Formats: sequence, structure tokens, C-alpha cells
Amino acid sequence: MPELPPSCTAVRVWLSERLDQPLTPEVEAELGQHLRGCEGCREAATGLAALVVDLGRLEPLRFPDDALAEVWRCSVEAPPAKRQRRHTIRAVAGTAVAIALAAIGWFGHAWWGQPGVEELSSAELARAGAQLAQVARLTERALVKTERNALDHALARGVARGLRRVPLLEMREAPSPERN
Amino acid sequence: MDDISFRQAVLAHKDRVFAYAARLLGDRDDARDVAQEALVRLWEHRMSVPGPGHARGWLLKTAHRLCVDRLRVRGAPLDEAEPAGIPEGGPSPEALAANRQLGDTLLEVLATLSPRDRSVLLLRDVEGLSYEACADVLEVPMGTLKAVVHRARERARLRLVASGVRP
Repeated sequence: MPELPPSCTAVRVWLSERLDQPLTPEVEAELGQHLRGCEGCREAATGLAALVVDLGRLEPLRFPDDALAEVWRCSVEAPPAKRQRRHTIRAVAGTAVAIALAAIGWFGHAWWGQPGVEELSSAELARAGAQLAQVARLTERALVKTERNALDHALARGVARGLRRVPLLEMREAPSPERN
Repeated sequence: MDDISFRQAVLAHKDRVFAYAARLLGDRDDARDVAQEALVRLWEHRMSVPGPGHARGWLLKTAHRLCVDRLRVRGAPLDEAEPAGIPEGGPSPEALAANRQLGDTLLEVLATLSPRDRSVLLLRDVEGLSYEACADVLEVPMGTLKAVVHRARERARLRLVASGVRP
């Protein structure tokens, strides 16, 4: 960019700032005074304002429909049958974990000579049952989260990899008419 | 962001992301690839994007990073202070002014700017992002960004003057 007198350098910054937000009255007054005596800065003011307007009017571009279709492929959910099977597996796994914990507790009590189940009151048994059910629910929830993250990652990565390469190969064979 | 929000965000911002990449890279095929990858990444990371209101900035930031990667592969200097002018041997400024619409000339001028200047003009003046949003996309401090925007506008203006479309 050409060298400007020191006063013009500051004014050019104000001219750009004025396009984004109003200047303070003091700065605006100083700017107006400078512009009255400086033809170069007046032209710059007009040119910068026109530039910003023209940039805002640039023709919009449209993302190709076939590329959008490939993006949608990534967001396809798994078929209901598979989801139901996964749900069953998760429920069984959660129950198995709860039973395993109960067994550990049972043997722990027996080994250390603590009172067995037959010696517990009905209220204590009910509380223990509720805790086991809670463990089963938490385990299933953790499995759902882990499985969903892994599935999403694999699906998105796999589809993205495939969809990025196929169109590129197709484009090499048949150049897009938009470019010609 | 849930699946419905993801779809709404894609429909709302796909064209803008594509346009940004196309004008920054100067190549529609590359831009298509970049925009597609940015949208797929939004799907991958939709759980970490706070909401639909953040999707636009997130997509533009991702697209910008992908564009920078591609520009680096091309060996293009991203941040040169004085990028090459309008190439010699090409159409003269008079021919440009006479034969092309202002929009085309503006795009020609944008193409002669450095990627950094181009990106700030595209984000601030074409996309209309706030300074805060631009700083987030470009990962630069606000003070630096304002100076970069000013210099980019001044360079673009001077090139438009040189091309003959502006007095």
C-alpha cells in the first residue's frame, strides 16, 4: 500500500471503523474536518463504503444437491430391528451386572460372617432389591451412551470417507459443467 | 444439538459455508469437498455443539480450518503482507472494467488478495459476522482482527481502483 501522511493514516482507520459502528462525535468532527481538505481521503471514504456494499451483494452460491444427499446419508439412523436387538442385549447385560454384584455381596456377607439374606428384615430386602434395580438401570444407560458414541463415530467416519472419494473420482471423469 | 436441529442447521447454513469455501479457495470442487466435510463433522460433533444458534459459527470455523489446510497443501502463503497484484499478461484493467460486471471484477480482486485478507472480507462484509464471531472463526485477537479488516478493505479498494471500476 502507498505511504500516507500520518494524518491520513489515522483517518483511513476511522473510515473503515465508521462502516462497522458510529464514531464518537469528537472523532467524527475531526474526520469531517480532514475530509474537507483531503481529496484522497474523500475518494477512499467513497470507495470503502461502495466496496462494503458490493461485497454484501455478491451473488449467493448453492451447495450442490448431490453433495447434500451424501451429507444426509450420515444422519440415517439404524433400522428399528437392529435397535430393538441392541436394546435387548443392553437390558440383559445390565441385569447380568446387577446379578454379579448381588452374588459378590452375598458371598462377601457369608465369608465375613455377616447376617445372611434369611436374617434380613423385609424392609432391608426391599431396599437391597431397589438398589440392585438401580445398578441395572445405570449399567444399561452407560452401555447405551458408549454404544451410541462408538456407532455414530464409525458411521460418520465411514460414510464421510466413502462419500468424499467417490464424487472426486466422478469429477475427474466428467468435469462439472459449472466450471466450464 | 439433536438430530432435528442438525438437519435444520444444515439446511440453513449449507450454502453459506459452500460460498465461503468457494471464494476463499477459488475452486468450487474443493469448496464442495470442504463444505461437505464440515457438515459431516457437525454431525459427528453435534452432541458438543451447544445449540442451533452456534452452528453457523461452528461450521464456518471448521470450513475455514479445512480451507487453510488445503491452501497449505497448495503451498500458498496465507498471510503475506503484500500479495501478488493482478497477474501480468492477463486482461488489462481497462478490459476488466469494460467487459465484466462489477461482481465478477470484485471476485477477481478478492482472488488477488492473500487468503487472510480474503477470509476477513468474506466473513465480515459478505457473511456479515460480528467482530467477535470473526475473531472466533479466525482464532485471532479482536485488536488484531480490526487492523486486518481495515488493511484488507484498503487493499481491495486500491485494487478496484487499479482495475478501473472505481475512480
